[in-house]
Amino acid sequence: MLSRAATSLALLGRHLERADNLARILGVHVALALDRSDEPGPTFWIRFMELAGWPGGMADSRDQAVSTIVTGSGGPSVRASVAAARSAAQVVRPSLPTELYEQVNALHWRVQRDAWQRDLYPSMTDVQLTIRLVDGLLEDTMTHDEAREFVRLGKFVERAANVTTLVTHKSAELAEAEDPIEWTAVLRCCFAFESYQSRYSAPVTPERVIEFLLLDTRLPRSARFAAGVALSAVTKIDAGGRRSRPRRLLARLESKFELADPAWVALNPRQFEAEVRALLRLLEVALRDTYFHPSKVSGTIFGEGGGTMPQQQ
Amino acid sequence: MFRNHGITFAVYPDEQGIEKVWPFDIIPRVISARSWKRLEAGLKQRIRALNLFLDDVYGRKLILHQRVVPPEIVLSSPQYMREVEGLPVPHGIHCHIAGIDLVRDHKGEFYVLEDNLRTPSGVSYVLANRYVMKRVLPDLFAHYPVRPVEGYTQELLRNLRWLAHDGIDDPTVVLLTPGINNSAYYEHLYLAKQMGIELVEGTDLLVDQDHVFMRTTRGLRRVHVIYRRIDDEWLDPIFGRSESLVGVAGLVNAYRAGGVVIANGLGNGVADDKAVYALIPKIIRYYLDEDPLLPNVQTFLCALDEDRRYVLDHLDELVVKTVDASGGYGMLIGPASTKLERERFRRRIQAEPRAFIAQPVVALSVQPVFDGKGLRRCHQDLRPFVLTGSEVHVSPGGLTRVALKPGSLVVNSSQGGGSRDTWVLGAGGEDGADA
Repeated sequence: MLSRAATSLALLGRHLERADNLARILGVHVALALDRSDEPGPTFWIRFMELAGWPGGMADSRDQAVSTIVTGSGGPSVRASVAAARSAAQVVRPSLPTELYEQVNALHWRVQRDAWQRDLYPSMTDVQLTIRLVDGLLEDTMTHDEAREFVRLGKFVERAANVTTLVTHKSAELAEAEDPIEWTAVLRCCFAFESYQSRYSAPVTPERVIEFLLLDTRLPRSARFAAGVALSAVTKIDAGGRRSRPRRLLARLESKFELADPAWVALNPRQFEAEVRALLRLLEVALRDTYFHPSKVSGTIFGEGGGTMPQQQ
Repeated sequence: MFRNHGITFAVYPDEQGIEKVWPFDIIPRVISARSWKRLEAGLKQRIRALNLFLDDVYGRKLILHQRVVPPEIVLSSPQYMREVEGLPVPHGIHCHIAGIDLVRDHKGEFYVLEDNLRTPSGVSYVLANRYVMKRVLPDLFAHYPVRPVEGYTQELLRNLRWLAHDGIDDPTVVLLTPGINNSAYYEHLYLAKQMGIELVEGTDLLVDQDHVFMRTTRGLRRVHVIYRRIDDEWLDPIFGRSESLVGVAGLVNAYRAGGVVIANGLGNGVADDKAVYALIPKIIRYYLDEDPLLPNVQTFLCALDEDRRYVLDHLDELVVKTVDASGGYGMLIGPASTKLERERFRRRIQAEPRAFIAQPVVALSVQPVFDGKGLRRCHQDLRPFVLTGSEVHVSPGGLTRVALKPGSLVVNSSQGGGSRDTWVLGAGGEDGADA
């Protein structure tokens, strides 16, 4: 597979996962603010923006936060993520099932419209369900080959990072309070509330949520599960041959979750997040060197400046 | 439907390229089986002659030595490439994919308006138009014996594989695109997908020891055949325009050394130069000893003194074209021009006569289009696509382009044109009115 195509496939997976995550945490926090209408607190939206990857000062009200997360530029937003996913899909369209590209393309045009201003909930649901549909098309209509594995690699590395951020931010934020409403919202941010109830049949507590979202091996939204799928994708990409550096790093990442102690994470969330982030940064470099830009041939031979090609015949 | 399916094109000269939905008219153009048979024979004849011409002018140059056509016109073409002289090409074929623009006058006669032998585009829209028509108006097909347009990409792939040098059982074929901002990018990815070949950009390829490789996740992989959609001068920054960011350094040398096959061949532009176009009837007679089955539009070569005088005296009646431009650019449509525009062209023609030709305005056939409110008449042309491999194959129909702007004669999509499905009737559709 072309290195450039592999890059774009991984970006497709990453940006769709990011759009999905943003749409989901936005919807959950808008609902949470309604539950907390008596005391959402002056920093509620500032903390939310930080969780979403923006500087906290970008928005301090519901409307500002919603507008930024849906349409903002210069940071992670639903619209920017879907547009980036579509751009990546355009580059690798020959490698994708037609229907898959069309779903991403049509979603892009829907997100470009301002329908979300009239009713946020259906718009964000549309984003999430379309991405589920894309997931289904990927699994059901695409050959389970290298191309599919790169999409999964991008998607699940992004998921592992997002879930870790969510859990560690919330652990730090809610350190002083065992707030079941807030921790239930954390589960909902990962589509995991019903699974949690099914698994524990017990009240929502911080340690259990941390255990479930970071360490569970069967919850597809858990960080450990995501790291495991990413590792499996890289193993298939390597086709049983070399034990590549990305493979070693993903094995370390999976072990990091496997061996983590929920009680320790609850006490040291920032340290745990920093350690995971450091591994993810190494992984980015390793992926680039191993798959995305493996050739050492200089790019300068292609000239500088450029110009506009004439219209094609 | 077109937007959601991503059937788009980009328009120059915008800085970034603007993605536009492919304009489509719902009323198909119908061509009877009898008319198509004649067109098909004419197109095959023309392409056979043009391939022989290219092989000759880059080889022994007999047609020039015998002055059947003026050597000064041919050799002064800006598209003539001395680097290709004497270069053997696989099976002697230079032009593997051609798009021939046809127009129909008010009497119903088809004429060749121009030949596109370098990187002709539009075939993906033929297939997309048919796809949409079958979804929108499926019942209509039940009443007509419409010939299918599927099969083009398989024929093209078969031909490209056939071009690989002997001894390569399973050649690697790629489609080389300038990238996502190119006006025809949709077509590039569509064709690559349909053929199951890699869609590569210049930065995906490198040349080593006169062999071409692509950068993959498993290292470098040899490339045997390149279907390039990049013009000659941008193909290789060492050989052509040094500022090219879309080409591959060393590619032309690899081609010359036989390390890779490129389709279409290099230097084809000399045969679709609009000045050489005027000579094609002579070329057909010379190589095939046959009369042309498809006539040219009368053409005045500004390089010839007598023709130039006539053109300068009748600028307000003629269409003046730049010999190496395409996409509807670099044209003066006399009857629709201003005095200032005509003066500007007069000065340009006098300064560089070889760069211009002129033709009378052809009263293009018209057909109704549906503009959302009702029907109105619009001019149209037809671009059939001709593939040359072990045989010459013409895809039934082609791209019918429509001048959607009221009164306009320019059908190019980059300048407000649109398209419609083209129906060639099969058995049972020998007669009937053509559009």
